[in-house]
Amino acid sequence: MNTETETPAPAGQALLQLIGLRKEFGTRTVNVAVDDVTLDVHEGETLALVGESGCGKTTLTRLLLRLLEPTAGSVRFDGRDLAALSAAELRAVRRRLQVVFQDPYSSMNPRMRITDIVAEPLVTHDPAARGRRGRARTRQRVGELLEAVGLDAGIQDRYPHEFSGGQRQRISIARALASEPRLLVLDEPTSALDVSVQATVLDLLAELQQRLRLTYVFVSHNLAVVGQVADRVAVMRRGRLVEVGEARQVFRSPQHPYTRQLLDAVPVMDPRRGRRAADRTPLTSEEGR
Amino acid sequence: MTVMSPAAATGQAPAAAPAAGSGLRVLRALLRNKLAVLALAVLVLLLTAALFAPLIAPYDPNAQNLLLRLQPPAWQSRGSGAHLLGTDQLGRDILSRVIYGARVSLLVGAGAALLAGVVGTAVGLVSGYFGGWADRVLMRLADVQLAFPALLLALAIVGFLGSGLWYVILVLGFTGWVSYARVVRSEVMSLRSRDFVTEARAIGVTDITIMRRHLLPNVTAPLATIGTLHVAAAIVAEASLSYLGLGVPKETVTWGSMLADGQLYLGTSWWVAVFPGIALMLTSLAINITGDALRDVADPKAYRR
Amino acid sequence: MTTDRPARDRSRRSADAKPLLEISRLSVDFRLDTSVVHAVQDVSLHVHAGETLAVVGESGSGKSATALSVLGLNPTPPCVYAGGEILFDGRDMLKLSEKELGAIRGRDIAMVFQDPMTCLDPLQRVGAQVAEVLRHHTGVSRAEAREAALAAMDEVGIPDPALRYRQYPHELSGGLRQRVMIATALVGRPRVLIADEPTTALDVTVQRQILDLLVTLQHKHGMAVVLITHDLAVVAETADRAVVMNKGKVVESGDVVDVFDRPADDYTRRLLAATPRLEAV
Repeated sequence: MNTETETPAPAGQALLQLIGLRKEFGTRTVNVAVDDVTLDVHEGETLALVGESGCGKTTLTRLLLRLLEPTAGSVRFDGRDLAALSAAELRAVRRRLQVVFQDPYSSMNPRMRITDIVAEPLVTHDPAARGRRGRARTRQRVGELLEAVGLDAGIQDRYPHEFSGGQRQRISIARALASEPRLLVLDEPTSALDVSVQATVLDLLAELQQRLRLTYVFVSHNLAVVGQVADRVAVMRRGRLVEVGEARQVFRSPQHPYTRQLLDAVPVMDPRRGRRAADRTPLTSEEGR
Repeated sequence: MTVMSPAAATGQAPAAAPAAGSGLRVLRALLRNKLAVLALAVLVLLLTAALFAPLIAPYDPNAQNLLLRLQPPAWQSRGSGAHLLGTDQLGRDILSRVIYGARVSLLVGAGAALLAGVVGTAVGLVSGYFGGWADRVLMRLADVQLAFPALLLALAIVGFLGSGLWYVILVLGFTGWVSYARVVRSEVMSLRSRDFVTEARAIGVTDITIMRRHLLPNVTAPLATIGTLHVAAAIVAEASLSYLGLGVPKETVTWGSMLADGQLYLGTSWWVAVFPGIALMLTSLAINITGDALRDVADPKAYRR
Repeated sequence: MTTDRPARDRSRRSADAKPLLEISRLSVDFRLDTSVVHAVQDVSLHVHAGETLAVVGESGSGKSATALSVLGLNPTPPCVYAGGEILFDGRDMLKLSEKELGAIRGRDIAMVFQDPMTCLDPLQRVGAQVAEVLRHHTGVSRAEAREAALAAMDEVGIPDPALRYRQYPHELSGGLRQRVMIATALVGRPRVLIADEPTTALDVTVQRQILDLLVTLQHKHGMAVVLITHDLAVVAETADRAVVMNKGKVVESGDVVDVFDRPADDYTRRLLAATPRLEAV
């Protein structure tokens, strides 16, 4: 996504720092969903978090959004420990830390108009956006946001079900941008979309990142998409990070056997190179359970 | 788009319909159901009767005329046009009493349902959204509540506090909240894991606002259904209490007390009990049919997507 | 629309052999309350024994409606078969009674769906569900059906079939559940297997295993496979020929190498361009 190569930035420049994060679930039988994860996300980069279902990547995003309390470890945003913040301070930090979810159908309240959906972060954080006078200003701002994501400002009074998956995802992005965030967690933002729609949404995200100097944490199971957007890649398995590195490096010369296994499994887009059964060697690994 | 898969087509179709959530849409769908229209008509008639009882009723419902005791309805051989549905054992006009009785029945039904709805929804929202110990305590409370037969509880409380219209409403309201709470709780539990709730939390929206803005509007459809059914149940329950002499004071006319009075004369003067009985049955039937129809049309598949 | 070029012999069959399954000029409508959706319009395609045909398209392309038509599985109403025929073994599937279709479903033509969790009965042991297909179609005894089911489960690579036989769907991982679905499809030794997005719900490493399994089984049994998918990479890996659908119509069909190298239709070109490639990194 960014053209300049990311050289490992000095620690001081990390916008988001995960330090020794651990999350356990359950009381009797303890299930470690996230196990000692330490990771820096630098200003302006796209860090992709990659892994298969059940690897703990969803839990990790919930931890970094502070929707879950970690069992151990800490999350620092812009140098401040989220756990040490008061409720009011945490709300202020949340403006700068937004999320876009995978399923554009369940990510919007079906009973709210587009204008109220997009304005929710504004109304929540800015008292001036409320009330009669604030309303006109808010509509103006929502219109701008919708236009920024390639939608018509005039759709404000419509309801989510009137829109296609791709349009809904744009609306979700508009909402995430409403509070002028610095970091967006993109949780499988294109997995529910058709390929052609996916391409346009990825383009939009790239453009917004450039224009607004956003930092992305891009969670995905689709390595081909990750290869297209990521500056750096973190590969997760069974709650742990097995490999973190520059995207090109990780994809071209994976260090960890699991990363290699993941890359090998991706179907190749060339019917001649396609590993048809005759010349395939069966995978030796055993799938879970 | 001229062509799409059936799934895409159904997902797209509501776009042509009026905006989601408008009561107009629900009403229009409701009017397509003939039985529901009939039921609604009965309810409107009843409501009018209750509201304008003094204007409509031919007599004072408590005016006695011992000379005209147990007169049969007008169409019977000994009946007279003066008392269309006949008179009771004290010579009171049955038609007037049925009309006045509608006031108490509807007031008790609506009042009890509203009270139970408010309490139950609040409990369900808190229980479903927060979970944990709050949920455990509230749901155990609900179990305890359910373990008592509602009518028995009502009997005990009325017997203890004394009778009166407001006591009856209070009692029937507080014995009915559990079903609302259960339904709201389970809806909320599935809603709270939906992304839009998580997203609101990530934005920093407060819990109260999340409940008000994101959860409550999405549980209204099942609430409306239980509400109507509860109105009917409460009306019948009031009649039962009044029948047992534990409902409202004697001078307030209710269908239940009329039934109780009439039962003694069932063998000779059937009309004393039968007309309030028919009124009770029609009301409860009409409300139930409306409730069912409401549930069918208010389940907006468009919202579920 | 389907002017197949002389098919290249990639699947060990003679070019002039009669296709096993042939759909010609199929049209399927969905009559909704206020409108008619022409889900499938004039679609023709065919598949030979031992060959894999991929039907590619995005949502709303009509690919699933086409696949479901073969076994008469579209819900009627609202679905109406507006025209065309589906020839299998010289019989038009659209003209068969429900009973005749029932005899073909699962036996001659089997289907595998995207989400095994919704296709498997949560309250029945998975082994019984595999065996049921056989019990339904052939008069075999319970013990024989059990043997065949265990063999099928073994064949699709389910470790310790005897143990898994007794388990319930929720006790299995997604990959194992999909293997159970495939075992269910294979136990009747079908001649045509229709797989509707069989790996879309699976993780990439599991997808790899399932795709490998499908290709291996096809070679072993000489089945015709119709693979419904939105994923061009899956097509490249598994198919001999591909049919590209868009908005209910076939826009392109041909040998998979030709489709990828020289897409004739603009939509195919756009689809190819939009698909992210790992090789490009």
